[in-house]
Parts: sequence; structure tokens; C-alpha cells
Amino acid sequence: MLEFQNVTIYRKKKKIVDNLNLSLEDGVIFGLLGSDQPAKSSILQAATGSIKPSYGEILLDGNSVSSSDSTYLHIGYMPQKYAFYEQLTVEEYFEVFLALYKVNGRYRSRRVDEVLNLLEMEEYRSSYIGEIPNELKPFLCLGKTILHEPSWLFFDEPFGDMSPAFRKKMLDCMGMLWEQGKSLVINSPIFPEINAFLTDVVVIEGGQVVAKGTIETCYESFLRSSPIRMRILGGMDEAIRVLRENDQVDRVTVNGEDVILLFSGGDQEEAQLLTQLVQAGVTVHHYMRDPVELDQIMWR
Amino acid sequence: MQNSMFRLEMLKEGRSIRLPILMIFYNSILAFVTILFLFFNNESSQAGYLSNHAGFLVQFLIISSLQILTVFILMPFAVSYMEDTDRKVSEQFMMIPGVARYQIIAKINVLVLTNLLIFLSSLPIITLSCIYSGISLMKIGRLFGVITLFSFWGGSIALFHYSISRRPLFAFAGTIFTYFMMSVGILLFLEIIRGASLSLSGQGELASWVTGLCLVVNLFNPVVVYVGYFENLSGNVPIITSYFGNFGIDVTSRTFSYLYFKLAILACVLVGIIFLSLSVHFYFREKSS
Repeated sequence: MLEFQNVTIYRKKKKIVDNLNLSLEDGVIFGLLGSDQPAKSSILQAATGSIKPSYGEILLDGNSVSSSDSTYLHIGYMPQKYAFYEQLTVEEYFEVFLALYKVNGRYRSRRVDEVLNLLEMEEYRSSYIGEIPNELKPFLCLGKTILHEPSWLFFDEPFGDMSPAFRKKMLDCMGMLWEQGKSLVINSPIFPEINAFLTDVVVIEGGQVVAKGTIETCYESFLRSSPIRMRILGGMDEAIRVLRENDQVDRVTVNGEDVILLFSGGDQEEAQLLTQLVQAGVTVHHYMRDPVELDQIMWR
Repeated sequence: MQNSMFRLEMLKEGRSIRLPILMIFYNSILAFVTILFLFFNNESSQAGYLSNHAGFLVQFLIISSLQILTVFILMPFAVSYMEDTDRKVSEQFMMIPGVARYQIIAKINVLVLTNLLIFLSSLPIITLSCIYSGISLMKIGRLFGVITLFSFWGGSIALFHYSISRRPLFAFAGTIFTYFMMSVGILLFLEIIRGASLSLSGQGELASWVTGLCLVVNLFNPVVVYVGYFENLSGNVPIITSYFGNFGIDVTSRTFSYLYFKLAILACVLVGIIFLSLSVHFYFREKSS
């Protein structure tokens, strides 16, 4: 289990993450969503031990990530910005990380084979990194992330500017890793394929958690911030009176026959509001929430 | 872990085109200077003068000084090209404890070894000076030692600026500035102190603490190490004798100069170690925020 306990991160005297409390179970595919890119990247860097939180602590299976000398062996991190020494071959590049992660010498060659097999890059084993197509370089970074078989994998914008085909390949690789029992934490913008991939998400805005849970529960909570739009064919005065008397109605806008309002209630309360309007004699032609896509909510 | 970082740096450097090109240019310049000297020495002996061994000694001194100067010229360039790719590659190592130390140690090793390799490639040219001047292998060994020391000292300062600077240009400028301040800057600073002490004393006498300050501060001046090397080859250097004499220090005493220059070597090593430690501290400085 990965726990964030009262984690606050400052960067250049500016608060980037504010009092984050989160618990992630093993086996999760966790999404960090929201428009606050510095906060999400900082959370990932702190979770991997790359930076130390200014306050609070991050525990992996009870051990502090930043102060333990062995926790890093259970963590794999694919940063957003990375580069390679193009004079090295793929095998030499992997060898560096195998040594850094203290993988046994005899096992190294086999591990390189396994990783290249998973990524479908066996033909590039002895190639110089400079010769590899640019679209495959993110997979090279993925390869070094999983070399030491960590139980937790952290991805900071792994899809970058990938084409849909390579995005699907990356997701397939992540899926295979998850099936092997790894837990994944992914910072990514929303796109249709990843919606179905994530099991849990947290939405970070202004350094704070604004929603957490499954994609559906987050969607529900954001949907409530979407306005209700209705067309009133008769009884506008009665409609305005009913709306004003309701505590959950906010910011009513009238434009001819169209009424737009913000309503913080759930489905049940929405239905009750409609019932009240009809009972008050209001002729309602059209009554529904504006549909929204989750990625539109993130960037609102 | 150290081996893997060192291997990484060696592979990177060894497969780069920079080192061979550098060696070609470096040895071309040295060869040109050597040939000029040989030509002038030949001219003077043909004109009827005796073959001047001292002339070859001067030739060796100039060639070796050029080699020492090259170390300080190459170091800022070495770190300024490291900057961008290295930083991004380093992002992938940040979560591994202790990796900053191993990276810095690997980098300084490669910087020193690169300079030594360049020196070794120039041995045929240096020996041209040695053949006619009677300079022993010990002296070449001493030159090797001085180049190693200055590579370590200069490389440590360059790596420090590489660790703290966000841009290659700042690392380059910072390195040059530090070299200047720790050599010429120290000399100028002490000269100002001496002048102030003389004018304040009213009787034209130097305060004893100024002499002590000169002795202590100059230990950290790499020029002193160079002077020690120079003196070893050619005997007393009038300008240096005069400089220290102004502070009431007699460097003609062999015991004193032997001990003093040895202490200066140790001080250079100490300064190098301090800068390397600071480099490790600042390398991933977000870790300590």
C-alpha cells in the first residue's frame, strides 16, 4: 500500500501540493487527473523519492520512501522529461540500470530479453539508441523502468505526443504489467482509451484534491457543477418562485423561454425539483443537465 | 554502483568524436611550437653559437606551461557541453539513493583521465624537448603529476558549477570566474592588503599578520603549485622571489620552498574535495528542499 500522509510540497517558496492525504491499495491503476501539472508531477516525484516533501510523509508498505535505502527497489519511475546517451546500445543502457538496481549479474541478460520481448523490441538489442526510431524511445524508457521488477510503477505523462497506435501499444504494455500484479500510478490527460483503463482517479486542482474515487464517481461529482437547462413554455413567474425557494439552486439565468441554473443536488433532488415545477403549474418542455466529457471538466 | 556509473561515463566519452579531434588540435599546436623552437635553436647553432641547452629547457618550460594552461581551458568547455542531455538523463537516476555521489566521482575520474590521455598523446612531442635539454624522466613525471592535480582541482570546480547552474553558459562563466578569482584574484587581494597595511603603518612596515595571511591564503592559489613546479625545473624565479619578498617571506630557502609547495599541493587537493562534496550536495538539490 502507498500512503500519502499530510504531504505538502513547496517549490521555490511556492506551495505546489497542499496537505495531500491519500491511500492507494496494491493492484490499483490510479490516475492523477486535473489541470495542475506541476502538482501532479511533484506528487509522482515525491512518491518515487526523487524529491522530499516539505511536510508530511509518504509510506510504501509502511516504509518511508525518502528515508529508506531499499524502498527504491520496489519503485519504477518513468519521468516526463528524459533523454538518452545516443552512443550507448540498448543493452548497455539497460545494463547501467540493472547494476544500479542491484540485479544479480547472472540474471541480467535474461531480464533484458524478457523486457525487450514485452516491448517487442528484440531486434534493437544491439542497436545504438541514436538509431532507434523516436516513436520507440518512450518504450525504451518504459523498459528501464521495469527492469528490476518493481511492484509500483509511476508514469508522468507517458503518452506525450504519441500517435494513437503507439498510445494503444503503451496502454497494452501497461495492461500486461498490471496483470503481472504491479500497481500503476499514471499522470495523464484524459482520452477515451485511458478512461476505461483507470480503476481509481484523483483530481488535483490548485495543489489540492477536488475529487477522488472511480472515474464514475468523479464524473458524477463534476456533473453536478454542470448547469441544468430547461425551456419553460408557460408559468415563468411560478418557475422563478419555485427555483428561488430551493436551497440547492444557484445562479438562475433567464433568456426568453430558456432558463439556465446551477443545481447542486443529485438525481433524486433533480427529479423532485421537476415535480415541484410541474405541480406549481409550470409548463416544462425541456429539462436536463448539460452533458460534459470528463476531459472538458478537467480543463474548465 | 560506482562501476556502472564510471562505465557509463567512459562509454559516453570514448564513443564521442570530441576526444580525437581535441587530441589532433592539441598536439598540432604543441608540435608547431616545438618545431618553431627547434628551428630557432638550429639557426643559432648554425650561426656559430654553442648549442644552447638552456634554450631547450625554455622550450620544455613553455610546452609544459601550455599543457597546464590547456587543462584550465578545456574544463569549462567540458562541463558546458555536459549540461542538457546529462540533466535529463539524470532525472532517471534521481530516486536512487547515493547516485549523485557516484555520478560526480565518475565524472571527475573521466575528466582527469581525459586530460591525462591528452597528455600521454603529447609525449612524443615533449620528449623532443627533453632529448636536447637533459631533462630527466622524473621531470616529465612531475609534469604528469601537476597535470593530474590541476585536472582534479579544475574539474572539481567545473563540476560544482555544473551542479548549481541551470544553463551551460552560467556553468562556463562561473568556472572561468572561479579560476580567475582563486589565482589572480588572490594575488591582487593580497597586494591590496599589503598596500593598505603599509600605508596604515605610517613607517612603511608590514604588519606580521599580513605576512601570515599571505602564506595561508596563497596555499590555496594554484599559481603557487605551478611556481613550485617551475622552480623545480629552472631554479629560482625572480618575479616570485620578489613577490614573496614584498611580504617578508624568503622563498630562496630550499627547506621552506620544498615544504611550502608541498603544502600548496595538499591545499589544492583539499579544495578539490570540498568542491566535489558541494557538487554532490547540490546535484539533486530538490531532494533537500
